[in-house]
Amino acid sequence: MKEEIEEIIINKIKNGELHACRFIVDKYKSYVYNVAIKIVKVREDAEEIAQDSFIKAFKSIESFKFESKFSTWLYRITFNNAISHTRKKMIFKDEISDSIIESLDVSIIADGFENLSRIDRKKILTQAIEKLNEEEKLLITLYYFEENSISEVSKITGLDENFIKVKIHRSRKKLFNLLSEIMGIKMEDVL
Amino acid sequence: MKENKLDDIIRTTVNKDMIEKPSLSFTDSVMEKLGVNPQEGKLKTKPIRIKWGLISMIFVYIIIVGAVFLIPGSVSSESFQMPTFNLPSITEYLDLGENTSKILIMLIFGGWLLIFIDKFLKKLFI
Repeated sequence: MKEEIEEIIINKIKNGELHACRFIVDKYKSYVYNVAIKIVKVREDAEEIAQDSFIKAFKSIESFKFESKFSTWLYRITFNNAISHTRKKMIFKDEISDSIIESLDVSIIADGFENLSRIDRKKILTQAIEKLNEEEKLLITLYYFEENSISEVSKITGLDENFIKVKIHRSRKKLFNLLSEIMGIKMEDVL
Repeated sequence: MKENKLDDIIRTTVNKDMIEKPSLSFTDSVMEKLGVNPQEGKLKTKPIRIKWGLISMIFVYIIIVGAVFLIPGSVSSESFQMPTFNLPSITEYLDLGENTSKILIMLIFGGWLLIFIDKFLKKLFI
């Protein structure tokens, strides 16, 4: 759905044509659901939160003035909804030693990874992402899967852009550390 | 450089089908909560790809049938020598004359076309 079409649909919803909501829900449901599940971790809760986020978004659609991407605005609602559901603040913590990360030979892992079939690459990457902590998973999802910019991720999570840059940088390296483990490359071999 | 390499690898590997999907009734549930009949506003897709597929199949069929009848050297032309067998051929058994091969080719491709049209119509109306 191109952005112009999306704008027309949003204007229709603003004019009370609620049946047009279906297009928006169909387009964003997987992404909204993924943001929710990365925070609440339980499928049923995530589904409930994702649905409520859409309802909230449509009910307050008048406040959306096209100043940002609709997706950014929607993910922000979802993020806040999921956070208030868990009744706790997300604590972004660093759990990995930089010294280990920095000494990884990226090219060895990258070459090994690229030599795998596409299906294996996807399987291994999914496994590695699953091993990240919830905060890292959320940032990787928002940044890579939903293709948001750092600035958009900042608007969604309310975190500082520089902080997000550092977090994504570290999550990415941690991901490679995990990839090397999953691919059976012992750390000693690449150090 | 290293950073770009890491970034590229993740970007080229991640795919939308890797993300978790909500339940199939997700959209209908949202529409119900909004007080809208879930059936209302359902996208009525036109099977454009299938339509072009059907047109292509009919075109291929016409070409094949045309080739069977018109191109010199095909089964109907005089220059083509059908293999001779001492045993009575299937043509004699079926008594279809010299057009048996042409009819068989038309039937095979006709059957193939009918199967395709059947699938097309099912996708169009279900």
